Amino acid sequence: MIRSLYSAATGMEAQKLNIDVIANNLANVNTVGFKKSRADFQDLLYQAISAPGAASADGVVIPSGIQVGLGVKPVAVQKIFQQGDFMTTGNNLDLVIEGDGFFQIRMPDDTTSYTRSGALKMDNEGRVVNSDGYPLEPAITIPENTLNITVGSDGRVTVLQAGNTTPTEIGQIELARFINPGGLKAIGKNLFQETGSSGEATTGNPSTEGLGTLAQGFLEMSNVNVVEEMVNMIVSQRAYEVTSKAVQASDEMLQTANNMKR
Amino acid sequence: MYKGIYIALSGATLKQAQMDIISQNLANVNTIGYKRDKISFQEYLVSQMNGRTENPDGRTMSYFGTVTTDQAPGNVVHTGNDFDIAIEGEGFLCLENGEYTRRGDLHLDSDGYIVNQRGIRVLGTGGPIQITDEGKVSINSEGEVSVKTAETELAVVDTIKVVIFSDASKLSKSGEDAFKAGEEEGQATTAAVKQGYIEKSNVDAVKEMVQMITALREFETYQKAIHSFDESIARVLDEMAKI
Repeated sequence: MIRSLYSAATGMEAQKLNIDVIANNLANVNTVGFKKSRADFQDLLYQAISAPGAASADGVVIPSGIQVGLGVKPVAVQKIFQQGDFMTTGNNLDLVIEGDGFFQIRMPDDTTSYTRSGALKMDNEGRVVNSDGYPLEPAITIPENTLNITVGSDGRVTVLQAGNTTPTEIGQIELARFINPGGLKAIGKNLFQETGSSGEATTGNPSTEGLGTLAQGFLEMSNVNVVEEMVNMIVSQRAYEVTSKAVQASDEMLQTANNMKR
Repeated sequence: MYKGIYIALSGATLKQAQMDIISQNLANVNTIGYKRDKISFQEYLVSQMNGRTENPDGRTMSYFGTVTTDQAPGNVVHTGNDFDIAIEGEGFLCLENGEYTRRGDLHLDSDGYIVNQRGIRVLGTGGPIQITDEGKVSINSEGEVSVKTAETELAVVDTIKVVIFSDASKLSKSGEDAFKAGEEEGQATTAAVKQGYIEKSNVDAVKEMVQMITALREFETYQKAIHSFDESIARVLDEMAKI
């Protein structure tokens, strides 16, 4: 009886984690470059009261043993790197990656973070930075007196300066890709960091080696699907309710056992 | 002949102690930096109570074991306050009175020292941290406290001291948000400090409710056992020698 109480309690906690993940997804439904998460669960170890494969009295193997499970636990909350929808903004420095790849951002402590958010801006020195002010890597500096910035689909950045008639190329945007992007560590601020499970970053120019192409004037919106999250939320809430019923039923059975003695 | 009643009674009184711990945890479900308590029981041989050491007759009572503190991390909540900090992973803030805490809702007192909500100063690596200039205070992820005033650039004032213990469950509680260490000294470490976040209580209401249900039903079982003993004794006294 007590075992069922604890198994049902693990079920309620697992659904609580599920709702946490869903709520985070829904809160970020409008965040540029956000990737939704999904929680995966696995069943806990089983207590074998009678092991399957054991022999019964006259050498006959019993077909199935008695195994009681002990509940559920979360095993992974992973990011789903589906492509989000594009939103057209018309800004010169708003870029979107069509396909695989991450922009590389140089952090203040000299490490590199990766992001899908292409909402780039210029700082007061003309460097191309992200919304927090961290510079893009490899660094690109827009010179003064620039009339027009063009970013090609292969990442080449060309500017038209005042007084010239032909544009000059000032830099090349490189993208990075990982063997297992689901293993990246999310550090907030739309940034990801490389970990042991994501594999090493392989950098390259856009549209080469499997990397996606760049498109200027667009932003990649969040890949959260509100309908899917609502359905998951309904399922999670009902699962929470039904495991709480298991707790209540075990409680009532304990009460019945106690009331056998009048 | 009354040993059975006392054995059942030992279980019942310990269930009451467990209910005390559970209600304490539930009362602090929203307290910042609170760590829940767990109680464990142990057996106690009846014959040991009588002073007999050989031939124990196998009857055991239940006896108070230990109350340990569960140092699992609580939920981290974003507040946006400059002086709210949360420690990611293991580690405790050091207070001036020798206590340690995870509670990170700090503020400046009138002298410019960083204090916790009881007014006790928080220690940095060079003693209590004092902010003398007016300006925006930022605390980076290594715990360095820096001030940027209107005239000067960002200047590091001090680093918040974070210590870890090899066995954090050996700390004893003093008040609901601070701990006292025994003989062991904390090892200074660089833990990840997050500014603008605080760590709330690590009490899980569902777990406490389930424990409350089991405690109540077990208490009921002991009560029925005591009642059975009482009835059988009454039977012996009243009816045994009746003709």
